[in-house]
Amino acid sequence: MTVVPRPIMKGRQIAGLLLVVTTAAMLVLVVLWVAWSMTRPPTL
Amino acid sequence: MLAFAGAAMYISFVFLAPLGFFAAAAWAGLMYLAECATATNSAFRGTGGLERIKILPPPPEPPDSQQREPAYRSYYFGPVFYEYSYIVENAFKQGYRRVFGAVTPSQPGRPGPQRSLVNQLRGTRRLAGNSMILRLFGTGPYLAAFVGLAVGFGAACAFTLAVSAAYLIVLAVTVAGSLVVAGLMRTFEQISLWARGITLECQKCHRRVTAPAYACALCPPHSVAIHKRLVPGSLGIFQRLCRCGNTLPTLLTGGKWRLTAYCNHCKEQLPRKGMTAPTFHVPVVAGRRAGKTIFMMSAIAYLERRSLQSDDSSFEFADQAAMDEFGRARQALSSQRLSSISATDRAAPVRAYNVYLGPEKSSDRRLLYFYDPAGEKYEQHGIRGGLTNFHFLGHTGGIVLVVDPFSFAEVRDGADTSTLALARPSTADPEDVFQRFVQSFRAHLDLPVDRRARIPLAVVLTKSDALLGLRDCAHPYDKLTGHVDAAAERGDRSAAVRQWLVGVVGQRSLVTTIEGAFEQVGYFAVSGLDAFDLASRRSARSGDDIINDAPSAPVAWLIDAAGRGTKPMSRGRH
Repeated sequence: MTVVPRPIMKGRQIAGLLLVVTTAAMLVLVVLWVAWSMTRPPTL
Repeated sequence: MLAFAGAAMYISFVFLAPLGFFAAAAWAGLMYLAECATATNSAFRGTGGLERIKILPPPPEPPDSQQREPAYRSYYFGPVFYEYSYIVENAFKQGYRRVFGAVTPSQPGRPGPQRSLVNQLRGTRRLAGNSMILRLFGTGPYLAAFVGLAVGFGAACAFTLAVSAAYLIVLAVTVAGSLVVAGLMRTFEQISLWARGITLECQKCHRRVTAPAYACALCPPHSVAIHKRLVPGSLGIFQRLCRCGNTLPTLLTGGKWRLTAYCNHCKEQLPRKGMTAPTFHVPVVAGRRAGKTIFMMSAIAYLERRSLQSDDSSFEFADQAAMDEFGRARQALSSQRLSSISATDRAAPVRAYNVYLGPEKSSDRRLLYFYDPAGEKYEQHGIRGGLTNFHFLGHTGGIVLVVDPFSFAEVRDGADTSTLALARPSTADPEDVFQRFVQSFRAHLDLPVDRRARIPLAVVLTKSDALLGLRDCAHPYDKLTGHVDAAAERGDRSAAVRQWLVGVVGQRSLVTTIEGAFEQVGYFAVSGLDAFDLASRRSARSGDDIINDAPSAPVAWLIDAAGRGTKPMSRGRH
């Protein structure tokens, strides 16, 4: 297998970090949405 | 009994089933997300193969047939999308197997085969055994759990899809931002070069090099990678990864100038540290044996000596060939056996002689291109003459016209045989040589015949040391008095040489022709014996001590005068 050069490893790690940040942001959005929808008065 | 069974079923479906549903949904969702996290982690932090993400450089091939740059594609310009699509696909397959699969195959770090959630749920039926009560109470949550698994899996899939979409947007914005930054960097570098007047020309084919090819410094000698377009782009914004694993800067400010550069037209190696200083091209014009090469080498020797003495690194050889050639000439100059400096080979193509002049990183620094074609080239007649292919004339920044005083009969008549043997007079008529040169020069620059060129010209009288030994012929500086102001002294010296040409050797026609063709003309008298230090010598005629001009003075004057270039000059004599 090809040896992965260090800059590509670094690129991968940054891409992974970006994904973690995106996921965390989405989770926060989902939690906020759930919390918001629970506080809404029931509609008929 | 029936009432009890009905109550049990009611409790099972109304109260316990939702619990089973939510527990199974949460469990399936968590399992699926865990599989996604595992797949992502192994891809982004692992050493997975590079072939599938299309990032690898092409295999080594001869530079002439090279289609693609020998570098890895930048991870963010494509490969990261392949990588992420692989992760999503892999995560879905693993997650699906984990939740619905028959048996999840064993994986590194997970001992033994794992049962999927559906299979685990089916297994819970055995817990009830033959107990009717457990069966009655368990039916609701059992069935609801199956639905919960599907719903949890679906919700987790929807969440990962939403995350993927957001991630793709983040990546697209990152890539678009990188492209904008790359474009800005390229533009900024071009504007910066243009503002500083920096260009680079090939010393062999004499064409302007707009995009030099660069060689990787760490590639194995048998397959050195040549990067033809080492600029910010999809292979890297600030640096790129060569196929050998070495990182190369894409910008001059990042250190690209340290790499060995090659002409993109003729593949010739370009001067070292190219594009760090403006170029200044100086054709040295003269007929045979006028002393062109000796003058050029003396100027180099003088500049090198001054730089070493002041330790200001204001002189530097720009290529190995120039250094080697000077190494051979230095020996002859230091032993004052000037005749042992070999004349330029007339069969060899004209190649520029490159040196840097001026302190490093200063705006005064110039990359000098000296052109020393064989004297015969300037003496050939007709349209097939030697100057037709002198394309470097198009880049001319200043001209040195070397005039051998012993080419004039008035001087030769006053010299004895031994002086003449030592001086080896040129047989070419300076005016003929100059006129032939000007004709070609105007053609290369598309200059109308009736317009004077703004490019400065230095008329350099060589072999001036030999003039001092003549009793019947004056040296140009015989009657020159010292001056406190260097600029005024330069003016006096220039006027003295001009006067000598007009009055002593009767070259009014030559002077008129020169000054009719060029706005700025400076006159100098130099000697190859002053190559390392300026020495005062006694005139045999007047008995005065006379100091010739430094051999580098014409070059310094040309650079200075070219800086004033566009200012209109009165009939220039400097």
